[in-house]
Amino acid sequence: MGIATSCLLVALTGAPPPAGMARVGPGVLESTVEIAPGRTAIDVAAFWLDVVPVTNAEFLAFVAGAPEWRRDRVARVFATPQYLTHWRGPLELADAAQASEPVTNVSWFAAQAYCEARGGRLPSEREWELAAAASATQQDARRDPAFRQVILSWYARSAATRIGAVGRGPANLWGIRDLHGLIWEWVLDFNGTLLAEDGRDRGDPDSSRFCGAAALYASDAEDYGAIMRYAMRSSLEGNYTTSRLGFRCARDAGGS
Amino acid sequence: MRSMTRVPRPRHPALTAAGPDRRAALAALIASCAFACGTTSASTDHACHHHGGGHELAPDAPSESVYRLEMKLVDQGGRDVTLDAHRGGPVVMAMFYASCTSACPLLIAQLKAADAQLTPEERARTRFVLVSLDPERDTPQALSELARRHALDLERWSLERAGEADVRRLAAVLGVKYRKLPNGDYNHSSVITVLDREGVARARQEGPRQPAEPIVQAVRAVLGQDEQPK
Repeated sequence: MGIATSCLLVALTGAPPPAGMARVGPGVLESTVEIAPGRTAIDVAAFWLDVVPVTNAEFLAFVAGAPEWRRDRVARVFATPQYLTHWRGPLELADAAQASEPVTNVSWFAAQAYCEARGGRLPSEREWELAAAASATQQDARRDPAFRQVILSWYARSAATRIGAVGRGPANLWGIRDLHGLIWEWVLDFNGTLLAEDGRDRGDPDSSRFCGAAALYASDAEDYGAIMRYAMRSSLEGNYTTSRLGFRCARDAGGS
Repeated sequence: MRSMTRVPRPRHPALTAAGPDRRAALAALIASCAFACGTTSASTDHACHHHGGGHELAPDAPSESVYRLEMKLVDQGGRDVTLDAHRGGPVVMAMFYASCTSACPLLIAQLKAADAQLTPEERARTRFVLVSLDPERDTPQALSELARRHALDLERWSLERAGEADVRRLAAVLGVKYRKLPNGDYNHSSVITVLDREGVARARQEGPRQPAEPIVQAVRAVLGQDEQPK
């Protein structure tokens, strides 16, 4: 195969995937919550997404080279005191098994700093939800009762069990793993989820806490898993850290 | 950026320019302040009097300080500014976008109401910083036009824009929720934060149509801290 052919192939199929990432989209996300009154369909451009969440070992390597993100040096405005407390020391994991488990107890600021250091960013909420809507066989499996049940059974599981290593879950149609069943994940626009406390403000933007249109409303009340995720995100602050909240990185894919 | 020279509050907005050569800008700031303090050392020039002339090295902003966020902004005059440009005195900070027609005018009215309740002395030492959520449309010209429409005193008020990633970070620090709508408008929570001289949030008010008094009281508390002997 000549150089010209190779170039043509790259032009047709896009650049090769960044290490550890798979291409997701383009697609239309039928959002579980309304993005504007009465509107739920969101166009999502193609993007690269980490196949698995970022592990403790990977995050440790990052922190070793970025001391401002050590748990004993991080500014409180960027991470609460629980930040990385599951490690033995600022630069030491608690045990060998932790290395391959997803890093948790990380704030949004720390997660975004990690992804930027890798030349990427956190995935947006719409990107994450588009990727997470797929099963192994369907691009949007959210109305598939079996798919829903798998997600809900994880949400119902005890938090006392150990998280477990990344990559053990099945790959979905895009080739992405562990979007469900392991941890909750940060998204770039976590502070874009505006959920009203109740529905009374609907249609009366001036009476709500928000400028512009009213807050978001669920358009598919059956999709409990997604509703739980949107509600969880709307409760977050950028410096929050919890033992089940981690992240994975994304990158623009360019083109579509 | 970790060890920054503490500079006193600039006496006019042009001095907040960071420029491509930060060291030169700092030198200019220090020189202009030395001049200002030197010629008014016996006066009640708050801008310099309370901050020791600006020649000592400041430690990092406190761990809880919004000023830990190192970001570059551009103000309504097209000048480069840093988030901590007004470090050293109370700052009332909020996020908005210029083309917003519902909650944002209320937000600005609320800030102006607080401003109006301050005494002339308090007013001279307090800065109002409004950062846009809409880097695409809020050019310096758009911000300048908004300032004119609201008759904002640009000696003390600054309307600023920053890149998308920095806007997201600042919103996260201030607890501002926002989302871009398909029509290009933004959905956002209306949050006013009062920062102390080191950039630590001392008061936070959420929602339109709130009274101005808590903002005024928080500003006075920060100014009161300034009065205490060191």
